[in-house]
Amino acid sequence: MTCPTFRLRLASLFVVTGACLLATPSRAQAGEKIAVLVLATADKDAELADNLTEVIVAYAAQHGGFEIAGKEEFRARLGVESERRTQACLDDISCLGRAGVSLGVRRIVAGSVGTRGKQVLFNLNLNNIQDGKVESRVFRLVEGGVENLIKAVQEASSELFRPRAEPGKISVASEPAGARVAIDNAYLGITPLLSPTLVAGKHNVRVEATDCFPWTSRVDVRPGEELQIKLSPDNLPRRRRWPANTAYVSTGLAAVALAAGTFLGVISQLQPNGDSRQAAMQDLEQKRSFARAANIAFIASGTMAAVALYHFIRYQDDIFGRNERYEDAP
Amino acid sequence: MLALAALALGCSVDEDAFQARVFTCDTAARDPLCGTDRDGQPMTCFAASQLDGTDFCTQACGEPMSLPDEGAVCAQGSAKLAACRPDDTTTPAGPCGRNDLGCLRTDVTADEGVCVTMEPCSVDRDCPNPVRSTCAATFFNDLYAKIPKPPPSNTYWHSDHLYCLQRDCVKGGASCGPGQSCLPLLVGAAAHPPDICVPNCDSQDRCPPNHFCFSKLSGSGSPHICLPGLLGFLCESDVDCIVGKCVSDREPDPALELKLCTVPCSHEDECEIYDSDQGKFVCQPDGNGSGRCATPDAYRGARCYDDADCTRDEGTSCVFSSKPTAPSDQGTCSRLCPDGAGPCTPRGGFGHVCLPFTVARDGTSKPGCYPGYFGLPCTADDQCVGDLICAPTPELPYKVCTTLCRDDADCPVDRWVAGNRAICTVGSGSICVLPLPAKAPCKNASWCQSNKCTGGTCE
Repeated sequence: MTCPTFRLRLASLFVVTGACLLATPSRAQAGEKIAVLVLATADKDAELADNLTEVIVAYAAQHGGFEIAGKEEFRARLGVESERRTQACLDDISCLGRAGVSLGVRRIVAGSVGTRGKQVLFNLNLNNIQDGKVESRVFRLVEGGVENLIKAVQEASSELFRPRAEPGKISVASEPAGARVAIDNAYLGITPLLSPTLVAGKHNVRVEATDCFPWTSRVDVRPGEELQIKLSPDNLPRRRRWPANTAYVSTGLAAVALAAGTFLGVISQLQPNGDSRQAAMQDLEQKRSFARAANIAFIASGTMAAVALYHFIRYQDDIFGRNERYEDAP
Repeated sequence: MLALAALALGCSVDEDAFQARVFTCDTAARDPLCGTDRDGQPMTCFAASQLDGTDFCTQACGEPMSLPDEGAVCAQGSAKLAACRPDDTTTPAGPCGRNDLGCLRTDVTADEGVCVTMEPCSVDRDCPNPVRSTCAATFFNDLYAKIPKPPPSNTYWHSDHLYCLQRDCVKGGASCGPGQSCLPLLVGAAAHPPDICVPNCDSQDRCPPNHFCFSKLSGSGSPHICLPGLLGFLCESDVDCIVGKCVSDREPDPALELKLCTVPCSHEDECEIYDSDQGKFVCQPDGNGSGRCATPDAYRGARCYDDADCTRDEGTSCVFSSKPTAPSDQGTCSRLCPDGAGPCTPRGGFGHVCLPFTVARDGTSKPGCYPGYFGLPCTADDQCVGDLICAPTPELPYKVCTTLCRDDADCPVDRWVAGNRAICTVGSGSICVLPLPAKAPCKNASWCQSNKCTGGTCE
């Protein structure tokens, strides 16, 4: 069921919006001519389709600098009257090709719109009739009123006419080969490697070889180009394992020595016992030995801790790895 | 540096605390297992059980003496005991500064004591042991009953912080505890032994503080018991004396020199207060401008069976008042009278008489020297002790040490005569004499030893 009030308000708003858009000083230059045709999926939405077409036309004229072939002209060229026939032509690329040639356009924006309750669904295709491909397409499900619909149509138009960037690729080689490659945190394989097509722009590349520090960089992939990265052994310096072993073993020994020293120290402080003073003296001597052993353990613990600390500081990169930052490649 | 710091702050055993601990031991054991002291010197087991304490390990030392520099006293048995002041009431934990040691007074005439494993007593109720139920303070107060209470200002007399002893072993018929002997059963009645149990000397003739081993100082004829170091008693060191200090009698003949427990004095009155069953005391000048309380009882000679027992006083010989009838009869070690008739030189400042009636064990005449007590034959006043004089009386063929009198009542008044049965020979010599032997002229029965005066002659 259609809401008359909604439709009336929508129509008036489209008019105002279209007028505003048309009144805006045109930045478009004489250029490509395109045709725009949005059809309603049901008869009751025919007016909505017309208004939607106008909004797209206004956007294309203002932002794309296109010359527009209007809906009626387009239909006339198609030689069809009914919406169903027009829709069938739009679905037939050869039919569209003929109409385009007749109109003198290379690309045609064709779409459909319909309502479902308070929701408005529309889809738009930018068809290139020269190569018979759909360059771009958008689909929207809008609810919430006229303002939202207009905004959605404008955003959809912007996306529809946004020029598509050509993808690029990255090839990575390393010496020695076999390093693991990840781009944008996605593991891709081992070197030598040619990445799948990538969106042109910045990408984070990480190359990691066994027992080596990883190489990371933020590279700029240009449209349609293949960025070649060749890594020498200097780019993948070896990561030493012995400092970590030394540091962690020293830490463990320091902890063990500290625990032993503490245990022996506590025992050494217990009161000497025995059935006689002589026996107590022997116990005292034993506790004196415990105290000496505790001191030796404490010294050993301190020494081991110092060794561990030295290695943790001196070889912190080897032990903890480097602080990896994706910096822009020169 | 780290190692040095660790060593400086490191673990160590509390050696001082260990050395200060008191460990019990067994003096009867072959090895008391006392170990060694801080310097590695063997420690010894002190027999505090002789004084109702607990035997405990202590440092060893040399000869018995006071060690003021070390704050200690070397007791018999080479046991070094910490010194203390019994009168100290300022230390919260007691004079010894700890609760497991008590301060045993070692001199009732000075503020001196040693720390031992016992709870000292001051009155009988401090003695919970039903056997050792009498505090030595009671014994001393009874013995020295002439000391005023409170004592005069110039006399230090503190009979407290003493030990518990067993009394009335004869009167009560009770056996003494282990390691003790009943004194009256071992010492002749003439010595007026108190009815108490005394510790036995140990196998090495050692005794607890305040005691000396009788047999060690007086010879093998004396019992193997520890006697308390009363005033005028023999001693080896101050540790042996419970009354006074151990001082030489300054006998010119070193062979006859005795060390006796004594107290300093400047006047006779200061010594008279110590008069007791254990002797009458006079203030003997010591040659330094002052004096010392002494008693002639110290020179009565050691008990003996034969001359071999007279080891204490060189040159003395074993004499008997009459021919012994049994091998167990004991004599007295005496200097023999010069030329068999005297006169005897004084000893310790006390005059000695020559007793013509003493004999050897075989009955042969063996006149010996003896302190000039009341009634003994003499030839000169300086042979008599105290204020006695050597005076003749028609009833006796010789002079005797005596005092002048007007009647019999005068005789007991003299302290040197008191305690003896004396008569005043009024009318003839007017001197106090012992009851007369048989055949001596008499005026009434009381003059005679037999209490029978017949025809002017004692029966």
